[in-house]
Amino acid sequence: MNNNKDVIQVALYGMDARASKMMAMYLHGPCKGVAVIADNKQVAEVDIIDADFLKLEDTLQERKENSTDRPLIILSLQPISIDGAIYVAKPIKTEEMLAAFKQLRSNLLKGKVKSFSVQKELDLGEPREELNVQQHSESVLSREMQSTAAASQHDTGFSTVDLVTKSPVVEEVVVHEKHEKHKTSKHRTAVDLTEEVLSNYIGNIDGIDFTDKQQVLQASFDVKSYFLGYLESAVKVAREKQRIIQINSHWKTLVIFPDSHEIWLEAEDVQLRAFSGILMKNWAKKITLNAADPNKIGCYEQMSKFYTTEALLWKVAIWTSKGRYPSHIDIHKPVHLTQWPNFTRLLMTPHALQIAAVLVSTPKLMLEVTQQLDIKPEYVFIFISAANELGFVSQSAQQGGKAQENAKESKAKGLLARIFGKLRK
Amino acid sequence: MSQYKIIFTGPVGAGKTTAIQSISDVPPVKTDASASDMTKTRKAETTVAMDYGIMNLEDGEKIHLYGTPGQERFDFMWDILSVGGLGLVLLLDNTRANPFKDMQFFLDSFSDFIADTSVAIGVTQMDLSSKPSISDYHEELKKYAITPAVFEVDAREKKDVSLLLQALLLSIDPMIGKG
Repeated sequence: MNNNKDVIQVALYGMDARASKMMAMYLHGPCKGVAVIADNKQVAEVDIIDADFLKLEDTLQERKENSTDRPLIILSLQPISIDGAIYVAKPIKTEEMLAAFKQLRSNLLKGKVKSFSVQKELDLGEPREELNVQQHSESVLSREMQSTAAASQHDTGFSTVDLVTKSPVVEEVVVHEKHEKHKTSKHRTAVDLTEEVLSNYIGNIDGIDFTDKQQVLQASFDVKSYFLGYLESAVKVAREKQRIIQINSHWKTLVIFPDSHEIWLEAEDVQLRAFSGILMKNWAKKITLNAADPNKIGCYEQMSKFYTTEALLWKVAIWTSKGRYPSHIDIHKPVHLTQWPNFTRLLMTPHALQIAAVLVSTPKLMLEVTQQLDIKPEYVFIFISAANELGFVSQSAQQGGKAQENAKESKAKGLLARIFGKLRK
Repeated sequence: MSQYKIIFTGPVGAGKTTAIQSISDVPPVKTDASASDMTKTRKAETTVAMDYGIMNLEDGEKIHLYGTPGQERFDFMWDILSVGGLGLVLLLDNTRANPFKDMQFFLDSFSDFIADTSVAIGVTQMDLSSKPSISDYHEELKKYAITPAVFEVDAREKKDVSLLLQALLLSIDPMIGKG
C-alpha cells in the first residue's frame, strides 16, 4: 500500500492487464511521486479511462456500477469532451499527464473537483473545469544536460572526437522505456544459422584452408583493421563519456546510446555485412565521432532500427570473422567463457550453444573444443570472435579438465540428449 | 517407468503457464483461477495449483513439464514437484518492483534442487521494461557463484522457451550436443 498522501491514488478502467502494467510503469517512471495505481480501486482518488480500448459507454457503466464519484482523466486518440473530466491526448505526453495530475491535486486540495457522475454528465451537462494542458510549460523531459566534453584522438585512429554539442542524456532512459515495445529488432527472437547456410550468410575468406592445421593456427584477424574495431572503440567512448554519440563515416548513420545499451543504425543487414568485411585502411581518417541529438536525426521515428549494443557488436564480429579468430587471442592458451551470451536475441552460429556450454564449464583450447564436439574450427573461431566483443572471453595459462568430467552426474544422460535433439528440430 | 520432469518456477505473471503452453506437445492442463489477493494487481487470473504439459520423445518417453504456483503461500508444493526433476527453469518478470529479490527468493528456495541439477533463467517482459539488463542479472548472479544461462524470453515464443531449455540441458551436461 502507498501511504504517501502527496501521491494521487489512481484506478484504471478500460485497460487490459498489459495496458494496466504499462500504465503502472509509466506512473512509476515519468510520473513517479505524483501518482500511483491504488492497491484497491475503492480507495482511489482519481480514475483514468482509456476510451479507445473498450466502448466508452461500457467503461463508464463499469465505473457507475462501482459507485465511483471521483474525478476522471480520459485518455484517447480523439478529443473527447465529458463534463468534469480532463482529456489527455494519446500518445500520452508526460508534461500533459503531469499537468492533469497537478490540476487535479490542486482541485482536490481546494475541494474544487466537480463530482463526476455519468448521469449528470449525460443529462445535465454541468459546466466543466477547463484545463489547457498545452499551457503547462514545465516539462520533466526538457532538462538537457550541457555537454562540453571533448576527447582527444582515439587510439584506434578516429581523426577527431568532437563532443561539444548538447547531448540529452537525461531524457534517454525515459524516452527509451516509453518506446521499448516498438523496438522490434531488439526483442526479435534469434536467427539460428545452420552449417548449410552459414557460408552463404557470412561469406568466406579466400586463401585459408581450414582443413590444413598450420593454416588454421594462423587464421586470425586484427579487430582494429575493420569497422568492428571502430565500433568497439566508439561504444567505449560513449560509455566513458556517458554521451549519445554518432559515428560519422561517410557511410550510414549510426548512433550509440550508452545508458540504454542500444545502437540505432540506418543500414540494412546486407549493407552492414558488406561494410564489416572491408579493411579500413583508407577509411580511418574519415571516421569521426560527434555528440548526437537523436531527435534531430529522427531515431524515434524509426524504432525498428534500434538494436541492443550487444546484438550489433555480436553480428558485426561474426561478419568480420568469417571463420577466423581475433589475433589478440592466443590460440595456444585456453579460453574461458565468463557468462552465457543472451542467445535468444543474438545471431546463432552453428553449435554456438554447445560451445558456450563447454567453455562456461571449464577453460579449453579452442582447437580442443573442435575436437571434443567434433565440429569445424571455423565455428569455434566465429563464436569466440563474437563472444570476445561482448567481453565474455578470458584467457589463462591453466587448462581445465574434460567437459564430461565437470558435468553433473545425471541419471539420464541419454534422455537429456534425446530431449535436446527434439528441441533442436 | 521413471517420471522425468522439468520444473518451471517464478513469481506471479512471469509467464510460466505460457511457457509450458509454448513447448508442450499436448494442450496443457491449466489451473488458473481468479486472483483474490495481492496478485490481482498484477494478473487477473493466477495459477493456484500447478500447470502441466508434456513433451513426447520419439521413443515414447514423456517429459513432464510442471509449473509451480506463483503465489508464495503454495510453496509447500515446490518440494513435491521437484522430486525427480531434471532441471529448473526460472522465469522472472522484468516489470516487477524488484526482480533481483524475486531471483534471490527462488534461487534460495530451490537451492538444493539446483545443486543437484541445474537452472536456466528466462527474463520476461523486457519489451516493457529493459532494466535490469541481462548483464545486470549476470552481475547479480556473481553473489551466488553460479553461471547459469540468462536469456531474454518471450514466453509466447516457442523458440525462446526451447533455447532456454536447451541451455538448461547443456548446463547439466555440455557434451549432449556432440555430433
